[in-house]
Amino acid sequence: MLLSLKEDHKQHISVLIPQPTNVLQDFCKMALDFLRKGPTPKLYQTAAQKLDVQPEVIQNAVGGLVNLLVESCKHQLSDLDFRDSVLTLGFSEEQQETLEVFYKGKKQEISDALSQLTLDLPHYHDLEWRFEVQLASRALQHQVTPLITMNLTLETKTPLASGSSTRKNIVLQTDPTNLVHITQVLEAALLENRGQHSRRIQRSFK
Amino acid sequence: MELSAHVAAGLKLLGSSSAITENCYTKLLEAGICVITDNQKVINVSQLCNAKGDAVKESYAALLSLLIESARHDIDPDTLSVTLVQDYNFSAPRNEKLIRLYRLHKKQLQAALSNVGIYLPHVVDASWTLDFCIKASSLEQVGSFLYLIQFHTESCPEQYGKDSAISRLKFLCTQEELQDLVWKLRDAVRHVERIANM
Repeated sequence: MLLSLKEDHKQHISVLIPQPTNVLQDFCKMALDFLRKGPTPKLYQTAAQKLDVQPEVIQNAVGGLVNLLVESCKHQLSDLDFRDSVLTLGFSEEQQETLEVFYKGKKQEISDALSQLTLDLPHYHDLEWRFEVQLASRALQHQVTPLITMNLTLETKTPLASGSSTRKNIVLQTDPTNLVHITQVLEAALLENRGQHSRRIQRSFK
Repeated sequence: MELSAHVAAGLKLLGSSSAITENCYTKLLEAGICVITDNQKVINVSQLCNAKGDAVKESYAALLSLLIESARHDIDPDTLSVTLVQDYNFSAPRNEKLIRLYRLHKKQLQAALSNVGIYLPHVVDASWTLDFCIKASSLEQVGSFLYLIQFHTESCPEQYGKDSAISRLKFLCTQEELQDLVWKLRDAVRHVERIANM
């Protein structure tokens, strides 16, 4: 399939078409920086001076390049489709090769980031536990209450731009009976995706 | 176990047959146990016995203090019996009646007391859904399993008004993450079982 881009997107990216391949490579690097760390205005300033254009033009070009990659990954374009799409945009064969190498190299990374983007709920990250016995409290002295204290770490991923993640610690407790119960419940959950039903669904949508 | 002067005076009233009638004594004992073990229940003391409102209230308050303090310090019924007879002049039948109830309900009294205080959110149940993610706004093809796990937790009653509030903690797990979680929980279960069998 061919990627169809919006008009202003095409316009942003058209700045790159007359550039030699080494400049295009630099833009690819800037696009990668953008993906990993977010925009870097200082770099754009320098690039703008070199090419004698406004910094916004550079920023738009980098943004356009990033968007091109993201859209390609989103639609899982094959290398062939990617080449056709790029050529349709007006890039030369040489430029296309540079872009293709870049696309091939970063495809997995971007796809991973995209798949994380949709999930806004925090993800399980870690669980630490401690088995303890409560000996006394203000209201009840002399007691032997077994408790399991757990520290559940949840992670909210913020992919692409920052690449970092925020972690939240939630401290919980439970008693042995409930611990066994929740373990059984979650074990059952884990077994479910190996069942016939899950496998059938998985096959039919692949 | 040390009781304040007010409580001691109340207990002496409770033990004397001139202040509290036998019938009233039985009712007070039952009401006292009931109020502590069942926190939903509210009993109006003045309706229990029609004689001498002040004395009834004072001895009832002293009885509640006695039951709670004894359960709190895990005092055994025999020791309590000696204290009642020696320090508060309880007659043998009254003493015997109170000790019998105390012996019978001590575990319940302590269970009620164990719910008083501070504790971390207590996990009581877990539920889950298994999703197979097909397509997302940011990606045309995803094709991965995704679990939504929910822990039901109970928190301290004081923080949320009268009833202990159940709150729900939701988070996502991929297959690998759930495997890791289950593995850790299983590890905890194994350790707890080993300690229980010691």
